Order: sequence, then C-alpha cells, then structure tokens
Amino acid sequence: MLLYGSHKQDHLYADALRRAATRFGGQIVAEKEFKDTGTARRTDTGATQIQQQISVFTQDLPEHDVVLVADESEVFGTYVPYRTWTPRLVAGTAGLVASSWHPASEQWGGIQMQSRFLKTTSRRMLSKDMSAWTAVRAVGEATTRTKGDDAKKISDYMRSDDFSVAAFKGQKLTFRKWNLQLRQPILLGDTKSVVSTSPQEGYLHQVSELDTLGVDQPETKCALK
Amino acid sequence: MQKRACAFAILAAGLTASPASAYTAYVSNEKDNTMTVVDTATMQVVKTVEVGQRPRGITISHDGKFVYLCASDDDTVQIIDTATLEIVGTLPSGPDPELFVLSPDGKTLYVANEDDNLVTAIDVESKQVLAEIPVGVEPEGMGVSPDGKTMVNTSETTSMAHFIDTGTHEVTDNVLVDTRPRFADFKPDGTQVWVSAEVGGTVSVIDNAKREVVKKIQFAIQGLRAETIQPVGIAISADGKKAYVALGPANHVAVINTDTYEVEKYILVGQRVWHLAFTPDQKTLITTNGNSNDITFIDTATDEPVQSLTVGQQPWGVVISPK
Repeated sequence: MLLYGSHKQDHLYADALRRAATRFGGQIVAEKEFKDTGTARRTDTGATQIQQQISVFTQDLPEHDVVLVADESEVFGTYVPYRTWTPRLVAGTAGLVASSWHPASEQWGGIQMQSRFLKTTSRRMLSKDMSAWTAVRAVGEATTRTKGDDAKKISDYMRSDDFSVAAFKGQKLTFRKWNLQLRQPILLGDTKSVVSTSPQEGYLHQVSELDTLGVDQPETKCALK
Repeated sequence: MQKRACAFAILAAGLTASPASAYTAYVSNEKDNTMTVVDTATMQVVKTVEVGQRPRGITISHDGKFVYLCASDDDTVQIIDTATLEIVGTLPSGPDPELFVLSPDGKTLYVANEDDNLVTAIDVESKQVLAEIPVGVEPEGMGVSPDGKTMVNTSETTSMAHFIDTGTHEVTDNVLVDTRPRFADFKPDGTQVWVSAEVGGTVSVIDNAKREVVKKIQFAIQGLRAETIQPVGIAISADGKKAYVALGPANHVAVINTDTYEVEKYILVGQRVWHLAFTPDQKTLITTNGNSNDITFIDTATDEPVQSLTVGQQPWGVVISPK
C-alpha cells in the first residue's frame, strides 16, 4: 500500500518507493494520494484535525502487509502510524524511516561520536549533522593522506580508488565513481531506536553490497565528466 | 569412586595426547558485566565473576597476582585478586577506559581514555596518576616496547599511531596508518610495531627506529567481502616468527609469517573475533569471539582450532596468567 502526498517532493519520494518495490520484488497493491488542500478545506477545524481523517482515508484499501508513506512535506504522513483502518506496519517518511544517521545509533563506536556531539551541542545527532561531519571528515582524511593543502591533490585523492572514510557505520565509506554519491550503509529506525541497518544480509552484489542500495551503475545514465 | 577413576583416566589420556600445562585465562565479557575464569588445560569454565560495567581491556600483573580490568562505563580500572577472585581495589583511570598496557617493569599502567582523547599513566603501587598525555581522537590501541622506553597509542578517528616517550610522557612521533587503528603490538625484539586498522582492513608494520610504515599487510578470504575483514587484535609469538591477527566480523584469525609478511593461513574461529592471547608456553592461543559468546583455543603447532568454549555475553578481551 502506497500513500503519497500531493507536493512535488512527495511524488519524487513515491517514485523512489515504486522503483525499490520493483527492484526488490515488492508488490504495491494500491496507491492513494492525500491531497494537501490547505488548512481548513478538509475539516472545519483545520489542519490540526488531519490525524482524525487517517482512519477514514485508509478504510477502503485492499489487503496489504505494510503501508508505505511518501510525505516529505509532512502534511499527513506523521499521523499514519497507529491510525490506519486495519492495524499495519508503516514505513517510508513515517514509521520505519531510512536515514543516513539516527540519534540513537551507538554501534560501531557511534556512542563516542554521539557523546561528543551531545557534549558540544546539547542535543542528539541527526542525519544532516552526520552528513556535514562526514563531508568535513572526508576532506580532512584526504588532506592528511595527501600530506598537504593542495586543493587539486585533495580533490583527486577523494576521487581515487585509495580513498575511504570511516563514519561509525561498521565499514569504510567510499564515493560512487559514476556520480560521486557517498556509498554508505543506511540506518532504519523509528522515533526512538535503530531497528536495522541496510544492506540487509543476503542481498548480494558483484562489486559492493552497498550498491544494492540506491541506483546502481548499470541502472543509471549518469556518467561523470 | 569407580566413576571418578574413570574420569581421571580420560583426563590423563587427554593430557598425554596434548601436553598442555594448566594456566588460568581471564576473559572480559562486555555485555553482561562479568569476567570468566577458564582453566586452559581442561578448557572449562572455572568461575564467572561479576565485575563493573562494560568490562573491556584486561591485563595481569607480571607475578600473576592481580588482574586489571577496564570497567569502561564505571570510568575505572578494577583490581581483582587472582587468589580469591574478588575485587580488591580500583585505579584512577580517567573516564571511559577501554584498553591499556602494563609497562615491562610492571609499575606503570598506560590507559587509553576513549572519550577524552587522552592517555593516562598510572603508578600501580601508589594508585596515583603520573601523567595525562593528549593524543588523537578516540585513543584505543596501546603497546609498549620491551625495554619500556616507548609507548604507542593508536587513535581511531585520527588514524595515527602516536609514539610516546615514557620518560618524558611526550608524544615524539605520529605515524599515519589506515582507517580506524585499534591495536598496537611490539615485536619481542622491539624493532617493529604492528598496528591493525579495523575499517582500513590492513595491518601496518612500523619500523620503531625510523618511525615509518615499512609494510602494509592486506587480507583476502575466499567467499568473504573485503568490508567484512576488519583486523583488531594482534598477538606476536615470543620468538617473533608468527603474528596472529583477529579479523573481527570475518570470523577468522590470520597467521602471518613475520619475515615474509605473507598470510600463511586463515583459521576459522567464532563470530566477531576481537582479541587474542598466548599461553606462557606459547602452545595455545585463545581468541575472544564477541558475537558467538565463546572463546576458541588454537593449537599453535598446527594452527588448527582445537575447541570453542562458551563464556559470558560478548567476550571482549583475554589475558592468561604467567604461571
């Protein structure tokens, strides 16, 4: 079951879910768009009552195992867990969420990183914080390895086969040659804890199991110039 | 009575087949806050001792009388009397002690404080802090030269081996190694330091005189992806000829010829093999396998695993009594 929002980014997220379902053999039995009609259109009392509409919104759906939510704009998605007409697992932008970091990740030395971040900022570390840290750390790593501050050398090294960076995810992270996207494990978590880390065991790949995630080289038209 | 005689006969037969001397091994179990005491001859658990929270680094006084244990989440090093197996004291380790090394004269304990980017030197006798030495980010691996003059600390996030002069407590050299260095071990002749890099997947051999990497050892196990090979613990034999490297989630121990730097064998042990220790007679090597909650005994003559033994939850470190 796929529920998606009406904004552009929601449609893009829904596309990604459809693509992943096809790729991993999942079947989307039905789809439904939740239209963002502004505050007071759906109910007299406005957007604050959206949570009460979720049960009705999910009432006439065919039998399904999991509800996938694509609502990057957060118009309705966060209200979906616990409010579906039939009790089902929720994943996507709500429920079980895939992200590059999770505030509760403590594995692979992550607890040290979390403690340091908490001490410095008085809050837990989010995905965007981790992305920023990893970006700076990648440049730092290349600077140390090339033993200097020559921007060209640093940039070349980061694109070379020798480059890797450690970011508390249990294995080295590298860049995908065809688009320079960071090749990294993805954490699956709910609001409080990390549930699992992908790639899931058993999904094999001829180059790197990390390339079972996202768009792989043979599937893309991207070619770095 | 008859039963006992029979059991004795089996034991005696076992002893003739493999003349292992009886030593005591101590295993720290990170997850259930215990230390398992193991008889290395019978390969059986003798006792399980409750210790502080998140016990990791473990070592023993040179006379075998006291075990020192990093109780990481209690921010202390516990002293355990090996005769009574009771905690008889603590050492002021500083916060989050993870791994440490005892000086060859047995007087100083050097502790890595993972959260504070420090190495703390503690006088074991007076229980006083002698020095706090700033090092790289997330210090972990600790090695000391056989002459006691040089200490090496590795910092996980800085990816360096820091050489510290134990006389002045100053960092004299920083050697860049591969990503996330976890452990440092000196060769018995003091000429080299071997440093494992968990995420980098290599072992760097550093010349102690030149203070530079002279060899980088890579690993490859058929059927396993490169990412799963994560070297952590290192044990170099007393004659300096063989180095054993625990490869973490690869569940294997690599046996390396220290002359050629070739990996001669991969020994399958338990899951997430972390640290290792030799018995004093060098005939047996014991590995801790964190995810399968057991330890493996390896016969160093054949480099075959002999037996695995269930200990506590997530065994981390192991040390064996000198007697």
